Amino acid sequence: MNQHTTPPLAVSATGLRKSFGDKTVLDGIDLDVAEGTIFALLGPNGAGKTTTVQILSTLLTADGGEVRVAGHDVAQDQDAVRAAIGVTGQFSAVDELLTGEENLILIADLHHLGRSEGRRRAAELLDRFDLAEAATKTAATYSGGMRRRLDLAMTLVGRPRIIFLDEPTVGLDPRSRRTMWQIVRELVAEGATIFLTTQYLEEADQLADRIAVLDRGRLVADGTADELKRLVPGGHIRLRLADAGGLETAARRLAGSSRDDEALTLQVPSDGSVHAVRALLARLDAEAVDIEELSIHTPDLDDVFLALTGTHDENHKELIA
Amino acid sequence: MSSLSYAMTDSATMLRRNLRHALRYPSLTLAGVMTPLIILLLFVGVLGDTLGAGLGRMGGGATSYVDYVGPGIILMTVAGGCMATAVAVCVDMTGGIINRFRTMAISRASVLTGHVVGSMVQTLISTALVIGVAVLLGFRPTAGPLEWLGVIGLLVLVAFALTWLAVLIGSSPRAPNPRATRRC
Repeated sequence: MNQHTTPPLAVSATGLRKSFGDKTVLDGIDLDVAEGTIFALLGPNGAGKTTTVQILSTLLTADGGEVRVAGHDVAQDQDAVRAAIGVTGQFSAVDELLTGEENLILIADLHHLGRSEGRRRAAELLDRFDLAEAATKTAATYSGGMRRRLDLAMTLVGRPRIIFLDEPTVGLDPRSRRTMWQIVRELVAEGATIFLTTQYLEEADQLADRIAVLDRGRLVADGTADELKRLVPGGHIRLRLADAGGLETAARRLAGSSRDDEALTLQVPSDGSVHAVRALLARLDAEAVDIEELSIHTPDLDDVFLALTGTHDENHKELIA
Repeated sequence: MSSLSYAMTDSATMLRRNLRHALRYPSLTLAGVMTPLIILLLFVGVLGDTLGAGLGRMGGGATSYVDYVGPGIILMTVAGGCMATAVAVCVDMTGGIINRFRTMAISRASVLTGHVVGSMVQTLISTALVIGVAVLLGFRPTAGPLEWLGVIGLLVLVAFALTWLAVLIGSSPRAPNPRATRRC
């Protein structure tokens, strides 16, 4: 084992570069993921998330930079890296013509677990992922959520120390998504390191110990969810008023607010505390302004994301739609 | 275990997978063996008497014609089996599971070895079936046991060579690939 002076890193990349033809996909990325943590790589479509995962999981070779996974260089020692990782890609990597059980036993055989141990492990994972009933049906008949679970179960057969999940909850309904989150949390509790990519900010917020935001091949931010939220201006209170006259009065009365004449709304900078809201309402009451609707907006990752990745791209609008 | 025996184990695992596919969805294999069978039945059963009459000094009729056309049909069966291999390899390479295999510490060649050995097994079964039908139609080769061994050896080698060629075609990057690996 190598002697590390710093705490052990599951994944470390410095100056990672990759381009396809003359299109630069990754333009010098530095990543450090500590063992036993959840790391989320967040970014819009085409930011380079999948490419990053593919390089870290030995599917692609980088054009430049040094990448170590589980202490091994991914360019030099691919088999040692592969032995330590499990990958669940964006597209389901199950054999559709085999049953759920056969799929798991196939992977167990490739891990050389031996016949009885392989069967035991397959049965255990089928149970854990709620697939026991469908174990003898071919994967082609599975629903999207079941296929995702089988996919992840196959990744876990070899008890990988580092698990890459590329957009693990895309296309899942809210319940399946929560199940997936629960599974991810359990895996970390068991000591695994999770590297996940997502375009769902809520997912990163819910799961990740650390979040890096990737945009057009560059890391534009890196930190905990709270640290990232501090990067954007504070929250505000949003008021929708009954008529243009009310808007006029309110806007005049509340300094520093920004108005939208068409939607009859007014954004007032505020920390969103009960005290601030009460004070605000009292001032408007004094002017007899009619408020149709009031909402309190605290900064969330959406704001961070939009602030960091620029708002001109159509993709971003989709993301928050 | 040494890396060589791991390569053998992994190839055997992949072979089991491919044979299971073939058993579960035999349509591709069946299509491969149906073509030579239909041609054999058509040429011998329907056209055999007329074609046999043209053979001249070899005699006449359908029985002598089946001796004439039999070896050609057998070779066609071997060649036809490769088509199924190319399709199977292409489907495998474009599906998601190949990326899983590629991120696992397994012998790289085992995926292809499994395909090659698996389709050779299928091709040889198909060939035996075609030979059996030909014999039923009156195919009476004059070869002795040693010569038959030579025939089988040659057929295995032809199947081996053509199957690898089919694997190459099936896994070539220009093959239709709905999920190109260049994703970002």
